[in-house]
Amino acid sequence: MTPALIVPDQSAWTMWGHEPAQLGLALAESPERARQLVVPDPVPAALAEAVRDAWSRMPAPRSYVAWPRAMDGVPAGELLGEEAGHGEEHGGDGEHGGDGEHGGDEEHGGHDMMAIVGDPSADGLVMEPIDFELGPLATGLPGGLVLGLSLDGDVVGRCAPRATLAMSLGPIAGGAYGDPLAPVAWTTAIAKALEHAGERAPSEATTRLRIAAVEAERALSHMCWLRGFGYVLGWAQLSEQAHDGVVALMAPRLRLQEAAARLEPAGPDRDGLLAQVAAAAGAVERVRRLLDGSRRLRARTRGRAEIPAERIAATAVGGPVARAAGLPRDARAADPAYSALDFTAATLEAGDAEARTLLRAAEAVSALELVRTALAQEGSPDAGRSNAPAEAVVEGPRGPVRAWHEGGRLRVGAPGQAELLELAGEAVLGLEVGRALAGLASFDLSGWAVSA
Amino acid sequence: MSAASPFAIVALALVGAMAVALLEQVVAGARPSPAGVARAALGTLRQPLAVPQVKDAWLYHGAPVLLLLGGVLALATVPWTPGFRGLDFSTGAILYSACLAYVTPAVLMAGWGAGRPLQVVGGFRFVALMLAYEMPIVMAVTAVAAPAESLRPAAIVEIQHAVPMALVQPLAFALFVPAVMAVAFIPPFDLPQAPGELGGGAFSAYTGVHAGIVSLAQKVLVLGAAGMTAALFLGGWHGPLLPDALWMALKTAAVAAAMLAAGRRLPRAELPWLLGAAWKYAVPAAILAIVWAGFVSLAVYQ
Amino acid sequence: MSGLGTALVFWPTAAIMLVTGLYVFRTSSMARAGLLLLASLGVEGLIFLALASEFLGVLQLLMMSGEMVIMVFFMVMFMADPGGLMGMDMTHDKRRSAAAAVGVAVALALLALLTDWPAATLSGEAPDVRAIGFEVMGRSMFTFLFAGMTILFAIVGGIMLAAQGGRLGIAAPGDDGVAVPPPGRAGQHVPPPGGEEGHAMHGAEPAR
Repeated sequence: MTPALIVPDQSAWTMWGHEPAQLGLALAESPERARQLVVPDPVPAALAEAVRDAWSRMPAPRSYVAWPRAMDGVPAGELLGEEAGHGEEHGGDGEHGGDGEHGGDEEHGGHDMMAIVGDPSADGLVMEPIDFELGPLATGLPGGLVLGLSLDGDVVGRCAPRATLAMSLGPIAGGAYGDPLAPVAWTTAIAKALEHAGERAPSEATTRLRIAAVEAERALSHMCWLRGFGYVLGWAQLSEQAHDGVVALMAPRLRLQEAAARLEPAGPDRDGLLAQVAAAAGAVERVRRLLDGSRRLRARTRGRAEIPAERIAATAVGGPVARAAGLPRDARAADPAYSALDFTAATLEAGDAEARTLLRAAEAVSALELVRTALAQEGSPDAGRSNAPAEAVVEGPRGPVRAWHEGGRLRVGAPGQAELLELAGEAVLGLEVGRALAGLASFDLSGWAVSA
Repeated sequence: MSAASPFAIVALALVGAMAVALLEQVVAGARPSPAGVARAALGTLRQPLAVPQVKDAWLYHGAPVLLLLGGVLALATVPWTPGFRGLDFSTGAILYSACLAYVTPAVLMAGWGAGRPLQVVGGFRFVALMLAYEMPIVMAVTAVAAPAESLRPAAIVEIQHAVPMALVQPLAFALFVPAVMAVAFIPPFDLPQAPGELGGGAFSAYTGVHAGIVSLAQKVLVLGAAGMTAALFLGGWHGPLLPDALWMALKTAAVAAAMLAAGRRLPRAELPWLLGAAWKYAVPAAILAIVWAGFVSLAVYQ
Repeated sequence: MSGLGTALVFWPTAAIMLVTGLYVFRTSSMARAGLLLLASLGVEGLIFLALASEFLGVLQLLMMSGEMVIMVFFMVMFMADPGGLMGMDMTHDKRRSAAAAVGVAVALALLALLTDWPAATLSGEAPDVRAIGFEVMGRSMFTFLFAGMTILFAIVGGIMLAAQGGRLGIAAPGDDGVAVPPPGRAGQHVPPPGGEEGHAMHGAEPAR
C-alpha cells in the first residue's frame, strides 16, 4: 500500500465512486510520509496553495495522480507541473503559518528579558498562545475545513472552523449538484421541488427508489465518517471494520444512485442488488455491535464536545447532531412515504460525541433496513400518485436539504450547516488538543459550503 | 562481555526490527512479507534529506541518533540466553530503565527541533507523560529484583526457574507492560505522533535517513520491551524440551505480538486521562507491588 | 577497571563535561541549554561507572534525563524567548558571578588535591549496591524519609493549587473549580521601555 496524500480527503473520493484503498493507496500521516499525491483535476481554488505546499514537502521520489472531476479550479498540471522544483517551504498544508507561533515575537530589541503582558490564562500565569490555522488538507480533518486555532499550551483557547470549498449549485457535467459529499440528497430535493412546482407527483415506485438511494448514501456517508473517526481516535479496529462496510456499500449505492437518476426501477438484477445490500448490512451491523456499549468508545467520547439541547434548539441545526441531543428534528418523520416503510426517528439524549457516534451507527443500520424494505416492495411500478409532502425537504446524512422556488429561481440550501460550524468550535473550547480534535471529528463537518 | 558482543547486539537489533515489522503485518491481517518491509525501508532511506526550515538544526538532527542509541543500549541489557547476556551489568535492570529514559529527550528534541506547533505539542506531550511511566517501570523492576536479591537481569531470570514472576507478582507485570509500551510510543500510546490528531506530530518532519532511523529505533524499543518483559516476568529462557534461545525467542515474539495486537484494538489513550491514571493509580499500585514483593521475598524465596 | 582504563574514561569524559557545561551559557536557546546540561551531567554517569560505582552511575544516567527535561519544560514555559532566536545573553551580573565561580572552583580544586582520599581497588559484584542499601535503610533512613515526604507533599499540593478551575478556566468533568471566562488573546510580547533595536525575525534563522 502506497502512502498517499489524498486531496480533499479519502471520504470525498469514496462518495465520488473511487475508493483509494482499493487502488492500493493508504493514508499518509503527513506530506513527508507520502509517496503519491491524489488530486482532483482541476484543483479547487481554495486548495491550490495548500496543495502546492504539500507537494513541496513531499520527498522524492514522488508522483501525483490527477483524477478528473467536474469542478472549478486550477488545472492540476498547471499547479504541480514543475516536477523536481524547489517549492516554497513556507507554511504547509498542515499548519499555515510556521509564523503563527511567533505571533507576538516581531520587532523586539536586544534586551535580554522581555515582558509578556496580557491577561493571565486561567492558571494565573500570563502565557503566549499559539495561533495557527489547521487545514485545509490536515489529516484527521474533513478536506477543505480550516480551523483557526489558538492554543494555550495544548489546550484549545479558541477554535473557529470554516468551510473553504464552494459547492456549485448549478448542474455540471455528470449531473452533480450541490454537495459533493451528499449528491443524491441534493438532486432528490431539487427533483421534488421541480415536481412540486410543476404540480406533478412522482409514482410510488419512483419515490421508493429515491428513498432507497438516499438511505444508501446515508449509510455510506456514515461508514466513511466512522472510518475517519476511527483514524482520528487511533482505533485501527474501528477503522478496519468501517472500511469493510464502506467497500461493501459502494457497489449497491452506485447502482441505486444511477437507477434513481434515471427514474427507472432497479433493473433486471434486483436480487443481486438485494444480496449486495444484505452483505453490506452485515458489515454495518458488525460495526454497530463493536460500538454499542463499548467501553473503549465511552472512554474516548462520553462527555466530550457536549452541546446542550437548548443551545441547538436556538439554531436551525438538524441532522444527527440535533438528534443526538434529544431534538427530534428529522425531515423523514414528516414524509408519508417513509411512514409507509415503517420508519421511526431515533434520538439519543446525551448530546456528546458518544451519542453522535452511536446514533450514526444505528442510523446506518436502519438506513439499510429501509433500503431493503423499499426495494422489496417495489413490485408495483407506477401504482398511481402518492401524496407529495408540503415542501421539498430531504434528510441528508448531515442534516436536511431544502429546495424551494424564490423569485422564479430554484434555490437549494442546507439550513443549519453554517451554525453547526460555530457550535462545533464552541464545543471544543477548553479541551486538550487531542480531545478537541476528536470532539470536532464527532460532528461530521463538511468542508463544502454553499457560496454566497 | 566479549569483544564480539557489540556486533552481535547490532545484528540482533536489525534482525529483530525486521521481525517486529513482520509481526506488525501479521497483526494487521496482511501476509508477512520481508521483501515488502525491505522495499519500504529502502524506499525511505533513499529519500533525500529535505531539511525544512527547522527551528533548531542541532536538535533536529540529533534526535533520531539519541533515540536509536537509547533503544540499542536498552536492547543490550536484555539477557537472551545464559551464554549471550549482552551488557551483563550487575545493575542491569536499572540500566535498562536509564537507557529508556533517553527516549524522552530524544522525542522532545525531535518536536522542538522541527518547530511547528503540532510537532512541538507532540514532543511536549511525551515530556508530560515521561514521569508517568518511568516510575512504574523502575518500581516494577524493583519489585522483581527484590526476590532475586540482585539487579542483574540474568539473576532475575535464574530465580524464575520454577515459577514465572508474572504469576507471583501480577501487579508488577500489569504495570510494567503498558509502561514499556508507552515508552516505545506504540499504539495505543502513540501520543507523540498521533496520526489523525497531530498529523505525525513530533516525527512528522523527518524524511529519508532520519525517518528510517526513527522507525528502526521504535522497532528496537519494542523488541527490547518484549525481551525484557519475557526475561523479567515470563521466565526468560526457562522451559522444558526446547533450547534456551528458542524459548526466549518464542516468549519475546508472543509478548511483542500481544503488544501490537492490543494497539490495533484500543483507541489511543488521551493525554489527560493517561496522566491522571498514571499519577493517581499506577504509582500507588507500584508502591503496593513493592510491598507485595517484600512479602513474597520473605515468605517464599527465603 | 584497570588504572589505564579508568583514566581513559575519566579524562575525556571530564573534558566533555566541562565543554558542554560551558556551552550551556554560550547558547541562548532554552532547549539547547537544558539539553547541553543533560549531556554534561549524564556523561558524568560514565565516570561513576569507570570508578566502579555502578549503582550511582546508572542512577545518574537515569535521573539526569528526567530532571533536565523537566527543567527545559519550565524554562520554555517561563522564559520570553525559549528558541533563542533573539540572541539573548544568558549570563547576568557578570563580575560578581565570575568572581564567585572562580572562588568556588579554586576551593574545590584545593579540596580535591589536598585531601587524602582513601584508595582501594574494587572488584566483583558491585559492592556499592549493598553498601548503599544498608546506608539508606540504616543511618540515612530518616533523611530520605523526610526528604521523600516533603517532595511528595510539594508535588501534590502544587497540583491541587494549580488544578482549580480546569485548564482554561472551563471546568472539565471531574473538576470542582470555579469557571473563569476564557481570556481573549492571553499573552503578548511587549518590548521593554527604552532600547528597541533589531527587527522581525520570521523564524528563518536557526538558533545559535
